[in-house]
Amino acid sequence: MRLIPNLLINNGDLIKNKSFRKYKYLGDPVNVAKIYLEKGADELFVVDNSAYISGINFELIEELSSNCFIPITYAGNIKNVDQVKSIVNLGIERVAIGIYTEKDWNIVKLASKYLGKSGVCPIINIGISRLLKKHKIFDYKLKRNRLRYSLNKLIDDLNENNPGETIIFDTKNEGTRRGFSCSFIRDLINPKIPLIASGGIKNYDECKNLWNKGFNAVSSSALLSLVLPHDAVLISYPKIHSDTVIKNLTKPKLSFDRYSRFN
Amino acid sequence: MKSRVGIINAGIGNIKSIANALKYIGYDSEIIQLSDVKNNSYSHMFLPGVGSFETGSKLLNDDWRQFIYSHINAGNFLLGICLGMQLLFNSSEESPGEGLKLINGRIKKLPDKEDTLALPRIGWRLVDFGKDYMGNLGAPSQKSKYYFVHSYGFFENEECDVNSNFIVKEIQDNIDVVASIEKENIFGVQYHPEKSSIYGLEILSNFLKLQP
Repeated sequence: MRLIPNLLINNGDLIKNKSFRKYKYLGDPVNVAKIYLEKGADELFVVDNSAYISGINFELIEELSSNCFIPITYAGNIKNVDQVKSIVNLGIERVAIGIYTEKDWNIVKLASKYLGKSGVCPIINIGISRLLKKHKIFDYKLKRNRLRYSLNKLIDDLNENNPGETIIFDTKNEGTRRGFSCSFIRDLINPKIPLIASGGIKNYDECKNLWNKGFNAVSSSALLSLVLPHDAVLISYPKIHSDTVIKNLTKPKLSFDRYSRFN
Repeated sequence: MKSRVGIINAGIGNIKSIANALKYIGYDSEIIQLSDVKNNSYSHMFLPGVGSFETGSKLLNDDWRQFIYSHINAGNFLLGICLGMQLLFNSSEESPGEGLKLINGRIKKLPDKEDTLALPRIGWRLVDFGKDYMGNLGAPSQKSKYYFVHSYGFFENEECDVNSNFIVKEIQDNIDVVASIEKENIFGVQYHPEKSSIYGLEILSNFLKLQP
């Protein structure tokens, strides 16, 4: 039952997308990551959208990992194991790799060999064909659905490859807060493969529903960074989450404020 | 005595995130390469680890093992993290290979309960130090949460040569897997303190405050 803030990076800025277009500037990614850390976030999921154009921003990755003492998963233009090694050497423990074609499983397998299954997350971007009214794999580099590699075939490959935790990304409702529309996929995937639901998350109640349906974690950007009705920027993390998931903790003697004196 | 802190770089762990966490709490650390082990000694040493037991066991070659044994024999402190903790034991049912045999016992696979546990087991779990706890990493009756990523772990049994008062268990999923173990100057944590927010930084801080 983890709730993971999703940090979407564009040219070094933290932004929020809506239907894959820049919607809002949220702030400096390192500062926002620190706020999530202080608010008790479980983990961070960093997605660098601009890495496809300008390459992986290793400096930013290093700065994030030097300031955040919770697990970080990085996604963005990872093409080979050398890049995985460089990212891990900067202090990141998990990488996420988008699956758009059958060949993309090779890098997942190679990276898993190096990092172990728990260190690599395949990402499945699910879109919908309005014409065929069928779910498809959405390629957000091309901004269209993939036609040759069907979602059914991808699910078969996923079950066969049996990777570690897999991210299911709802591209149709991304940034809209209309709700996660791909929960059907849990029944199609081997229950032993842990899943993370991401995209369109409406509220904390929906997170609870998704955990009850068998998703191990929920990742969201809008829910944890924007406030309705006008989508004002407010970085938040539900206190109820840390209070209810693991209860009755002994208060640590030290706090992040106190540690900051050592810097 | 001033601490000299080293992180073993045998190629089996995420050394940078440990160095980052130590820096944040005010300690400079040195990354120990195999070529540095002669004529060097550290007051506190970390053995990080990610991956399979077999790979870890192979990467800890004779030179590394000798270095670790002389570190322990000199009364200095060692903290094994995740696979690093598992390597403190004799062996693992995960794969062949010998551990460091600093603590008697064998690492076992976590129970595969369909309703509650998917492996690898990833996430924050509640750890109870217990009222009889006598170790140095925490305090009696302390309850904290730490970040775990593992499929194998140590379960306390008769062959273990460590008193129960120095063993802390993770109680979230009722599987009683050992979260941390302390045997004189040898410490092991199954979770990742460097990634467990303030709770983990406190563990690192407590470890580094120990004086021989």
